[in-house]
Amino acid sequence: MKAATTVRRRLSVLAQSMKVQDMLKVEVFLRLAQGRLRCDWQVSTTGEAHLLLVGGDEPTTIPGLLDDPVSQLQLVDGPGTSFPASGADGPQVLTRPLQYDAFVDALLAVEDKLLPKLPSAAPAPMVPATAGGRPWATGRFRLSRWPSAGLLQPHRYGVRLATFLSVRPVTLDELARLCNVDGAECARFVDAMGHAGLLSVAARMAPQPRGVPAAAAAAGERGTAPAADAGLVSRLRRTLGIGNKGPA
Amino acid sequence: MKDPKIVFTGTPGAGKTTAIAALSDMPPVTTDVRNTDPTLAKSHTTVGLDFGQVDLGDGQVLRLFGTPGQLRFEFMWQILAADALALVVLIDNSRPDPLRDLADYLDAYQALLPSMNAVIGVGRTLECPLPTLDEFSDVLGDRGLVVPVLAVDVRERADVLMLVDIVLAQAEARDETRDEATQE
Repeated sequence: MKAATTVRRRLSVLAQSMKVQDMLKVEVFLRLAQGRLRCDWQVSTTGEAHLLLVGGDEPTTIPGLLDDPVSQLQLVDGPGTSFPASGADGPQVLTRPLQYDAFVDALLAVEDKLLPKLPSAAPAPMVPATAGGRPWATGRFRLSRWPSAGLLQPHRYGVRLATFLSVRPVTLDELARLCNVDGAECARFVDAMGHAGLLSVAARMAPQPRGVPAAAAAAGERGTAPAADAGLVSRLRRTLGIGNKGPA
Repeated sequence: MKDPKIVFTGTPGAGKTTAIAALSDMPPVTTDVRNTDPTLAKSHTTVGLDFGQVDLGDGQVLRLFGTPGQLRFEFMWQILAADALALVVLIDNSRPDPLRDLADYLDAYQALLPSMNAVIGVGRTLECPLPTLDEFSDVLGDRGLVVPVLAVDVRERADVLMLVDIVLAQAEARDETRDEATQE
């Protein structure tokens, strides 16, 4: 069987009012991110752009003729990283110092808008090619890798959901119940992780011998963790002033 | 009932003592001495261990241990982590090779990590954005480990609580498994 070949599309970041050190960072980040991106990105200061990156506060002017830039990204001074900070249609905001994960996530979002039908260059998820491409919707799944900050940020309870999924394989219903998070929110999170190739779906569980509970079998793969009864965890949370809902 | 303990480990200068001080009810007991290692940009460093505690009521306390950072004290890392409820690994991203630092700790805790509640907190990521958190996750992934990796500033109590919150969520997830197994 012939292996499918994929021609990587070239996309441009049009940089405007950028500081020299930010430009250098962008160029380094683009080189580092080649393996994560589906397209070959280049930085330009004129001409066609697929992403307009603005480093200053002044109104943007777009030199040259170009199709509508699909996205605008504004780099501002401030603590932390706020991608995606604004609505889907407005410019996204990243804060200085520019962070690699947030920048690459912004590029991936542009690629998703431009190339929704192309297969991802990311490693293929460890899922069977059945169940309509969303095998996690019906099976037990867990994270195969901790997600990037940019992937977690859009989800209110992303860290909590990811934490549970990093420990054990669960179904969608189990995840919602264990995390005490709305099922629809869990589904959105799990879909995002699945599409990013970060889920591994457990093979359909074999019938257990009588007297061996399924959950015990699932626990067996992790060995014996230090015991902590639910009362102790609640007391620790209460004493330390941590919300009982767990990490958001 | 045995008092639970959380162990803070990580590179020298990553903020283990600071993290314990952020949580402890009492000023942490430290065994800091004047630093004679020219590669560390601080006047004092921990050579034994740090200790703090949080009173949980009913005579029970959460014990907080900080390991000495230097690799030559590796033998103490595992002794302190035995029977721990959780392990918090703090990495200083301004050091020359933070990924190598993480690998050293993964080697040291190799036997415990697959079944242990653990989280990696990476400090000074604003000043030193590389390596990225993704690269830390790659190092973990290469070893088949899925451990939360977050950027933190341990001078902020909220960041330290976030790390503790995560390991408690892991403890809950494992505990739920036990409950289900018991009920079935």
